[in-house]
Amino acid sequence: MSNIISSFKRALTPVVVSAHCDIPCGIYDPSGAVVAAKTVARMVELLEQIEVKDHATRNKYVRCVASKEEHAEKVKHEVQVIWSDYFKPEHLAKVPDLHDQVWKLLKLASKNKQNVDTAAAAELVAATEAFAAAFAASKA
Amino acid sequence: MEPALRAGDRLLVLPAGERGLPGLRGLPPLGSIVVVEREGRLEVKRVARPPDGTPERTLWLLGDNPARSTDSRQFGALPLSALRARVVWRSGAR
Repeated sequence: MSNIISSFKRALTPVVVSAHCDIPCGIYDPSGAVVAAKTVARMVELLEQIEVKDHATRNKYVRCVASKEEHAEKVKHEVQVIWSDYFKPEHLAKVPDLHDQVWKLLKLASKNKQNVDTAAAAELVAATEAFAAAFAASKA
Repeated sequence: MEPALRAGDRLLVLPAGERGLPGLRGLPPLGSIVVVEREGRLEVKRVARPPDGTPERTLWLLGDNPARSTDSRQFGALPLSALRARVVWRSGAR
């Protein structure tokens, strides 16, 4: 008898079931990519100002190059995660050029790793801002 | 799964799948709402018609809100052994 009661109790004990992925929806945010792109642009600006004449200025130059590399890579990572994990086929109706836009943005980030180029850095900032706008449009 | 299910709803389920009630051990009908175990978690989804070429006796599950759901479009078909329960009733008037 107690067996029957305990199995009923077990059957009636509520458990939690989920309808969504482990990480709650809505945590994707393109602002990290925009900030990283602006950091790249600022590093390019500094690199063009630094006159390398001793160890101290060389050190500063190298640090700016390293930071430029790091943040250009961060742009790529942040954009790729939103592109692959957040965007669903349904969003393409609102952002039809998404794949082309991301493809060009990632290539632009690589160009910024390879060069110290003010124009390319400005393009990267504009492209990540456009990507952030596309993200917002997909939610509208 | 909104508006069919909302966060905090209580569901009455019947055991289904391999260790379920007799009559609920096979593939659930299209459109029914089921509880499956996936990666150690219990998830609730709706049974949908699988795309062509999907192996038989597998579950193709979709959320009701495609733009926000992570479902068989990402993780593919689930084996029938993942099925745990069939939802028969939910709490709360609409």
